[in-house]
Amino acid sequence: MEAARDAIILVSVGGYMLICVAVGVWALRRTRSTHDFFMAGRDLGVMLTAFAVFSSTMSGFGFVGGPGLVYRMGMSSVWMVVCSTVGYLISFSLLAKRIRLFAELRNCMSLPDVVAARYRSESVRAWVSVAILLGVMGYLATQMLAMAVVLQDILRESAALPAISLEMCVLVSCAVLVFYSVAGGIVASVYTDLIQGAVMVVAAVLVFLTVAFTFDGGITEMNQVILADDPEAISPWGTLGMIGCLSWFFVFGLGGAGQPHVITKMMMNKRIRDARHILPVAALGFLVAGLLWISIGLVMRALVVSGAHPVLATPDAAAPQFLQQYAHPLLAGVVFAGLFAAIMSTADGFLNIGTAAVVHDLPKALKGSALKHELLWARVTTVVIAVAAAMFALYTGDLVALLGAFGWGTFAAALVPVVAIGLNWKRATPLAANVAVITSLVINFGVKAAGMTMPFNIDVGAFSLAVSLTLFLGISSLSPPPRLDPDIEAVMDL
Amino acid sequence: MSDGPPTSGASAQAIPNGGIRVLLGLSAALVLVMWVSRWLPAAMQPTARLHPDAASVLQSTGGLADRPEALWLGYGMGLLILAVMATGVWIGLRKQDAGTPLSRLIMIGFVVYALVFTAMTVTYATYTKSPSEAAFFGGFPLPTAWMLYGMWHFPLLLVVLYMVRFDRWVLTGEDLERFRKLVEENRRQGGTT
Repeated sequence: MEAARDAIILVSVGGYMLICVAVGVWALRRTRSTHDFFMAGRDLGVMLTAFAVFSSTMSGFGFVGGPGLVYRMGMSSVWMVVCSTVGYLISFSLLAKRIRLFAELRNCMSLPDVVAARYRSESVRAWVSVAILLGVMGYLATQMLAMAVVLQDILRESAALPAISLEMCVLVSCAVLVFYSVAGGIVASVYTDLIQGAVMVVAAVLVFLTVAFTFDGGITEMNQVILADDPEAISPWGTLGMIGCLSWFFVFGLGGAGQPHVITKMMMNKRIRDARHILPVAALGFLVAGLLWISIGLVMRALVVSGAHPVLATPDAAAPQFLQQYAHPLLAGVVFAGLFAAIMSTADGFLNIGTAAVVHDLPKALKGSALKHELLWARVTTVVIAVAAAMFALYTGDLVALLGAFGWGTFAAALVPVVAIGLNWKRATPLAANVAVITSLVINFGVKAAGMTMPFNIDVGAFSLAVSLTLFLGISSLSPPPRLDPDIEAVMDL
Repeated sequence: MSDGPPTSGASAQAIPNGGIRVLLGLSAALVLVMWVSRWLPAAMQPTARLHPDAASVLQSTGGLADRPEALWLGYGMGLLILAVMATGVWIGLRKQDAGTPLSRLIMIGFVVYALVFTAMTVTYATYTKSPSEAAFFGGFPLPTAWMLYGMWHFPLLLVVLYMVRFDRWVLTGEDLERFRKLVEENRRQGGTT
């Protein structure tokens, strides 16, 4: 079977992509309106919504970048995973009920629709749309680039297409993503999310079991090897230090309530009461998937520092090297399919909310009405955004990395105050909401573009989240109380 | 692009903001801590270097044993972050600006969560002084075990509480009935965004 390793990986990834195409074809028949395209007809069950929530949160970063960070820095980046349980609790407490009520009350089709209804402000809708669009372009471009790089590696390793170019790999991988996203909109996206989430969970459990048996003394021996080399690496703070780790805990924990591709899914469940079951399923799904992030990174660090494995050229090689050298070929096939699943499940959500911002929200904010033939334009725009993101990924160099890194923290700082707090606090004003979004864009983009660093390795996203939250609460408290539409006020009382 | 004129809806003037004031104070304190840390002595900063035998691995050059001020700063910041998170949950679960039994129970849960964080910090302070004598639990050194089995998993209990008490305290049948009436009223008036 070892001889067929490359073929097994290729067949697994190819099979997974065919399933995605099949889901796209099936979802095409279920997508008859823009409401279906963006909101899945608000008809999703518990498992679909829960898996869509957790698989959208766990991007390809969790399968490649995450293990790479653990390999390089020890336990530091594990805080991005550790915060998930409390993060989901915060997101659901603040948003699951409220945003779903708003969505049904005003028939909202996007997050900017919700904020426009809440604040009675087209300027807030416009600023939120701009923030979403900027973040989407960066995130989408990095996901597409990651997908193409992995595909290129697989094809070169297998000797099937050793000379294939990166451009061709972008084309192939994006063609599948774009096909099902255009054909089936968010319906295809959430059904593929279900498959993608299941693949991720299975892959993570199998990888964890493999890691547990890599050292004779199991996980304890693996960690003793790391401790003997660098005690801090296996301490809770790794090499980043306590304060830097806590800033990640803050921005990834509280910031989850500001990720538009995740919280939009909370508007799509059929029954409002299903939120109580969606939360535990999503939290457990992410918890299991997170095992892959931690276990591969630790085992590769232990193997390298003990001299049992050659030093990796780059930290991101940790997961591919582990799968090539230590995992059963079938497991490698499942995990590579899981990697594509993780990337696509995040990318399709971004594609959908980016399309909504362009087709639905910006026209409403700028000219007061939606486009005619919105569904047709939604499909066209999905292709245009995907092509633009692909070009961006291939030809803008460092700018992609800059915008990719800018994603989570920007969304957190812009949308946690405006959406998560604003939907729960009647005194929040449109001015404060606009200031919070602009502050988030300025701090995140400005600090990164200027190459500035924060002391104690504090994440700039954490700083901008604290600043925008303070400004939002302070400005609203000092402003005259806004007047709300009676139905909005009534929903905020529930 | 314009903001709509005020409607005749009920004013938000009379709404108390207890939780919001607390959140404002906590987030401002967090900004202050992050900003002021810029001027703390460089010796307090964490340091790491490239591993001498593995260039793609970072190796720390010492824990917080010799920098107790940084440990206390981190502990304080951690408690602030937990307080921000707890207040966020309280704001989300309150009804008409009054706490519910669920929000109060979850607040107690966050106090326990802060104790877990304290246990992790205290065991880390001991660990970093003599790591070679570290006690292990569940495959990890004790402070890391607190992080993984406590900080990561403890909130699952609060998740279960949310799930079990949702119908009673988050969204009751009465709430849903009121909401249905609102939706019907809105549909009659053709209200959308």
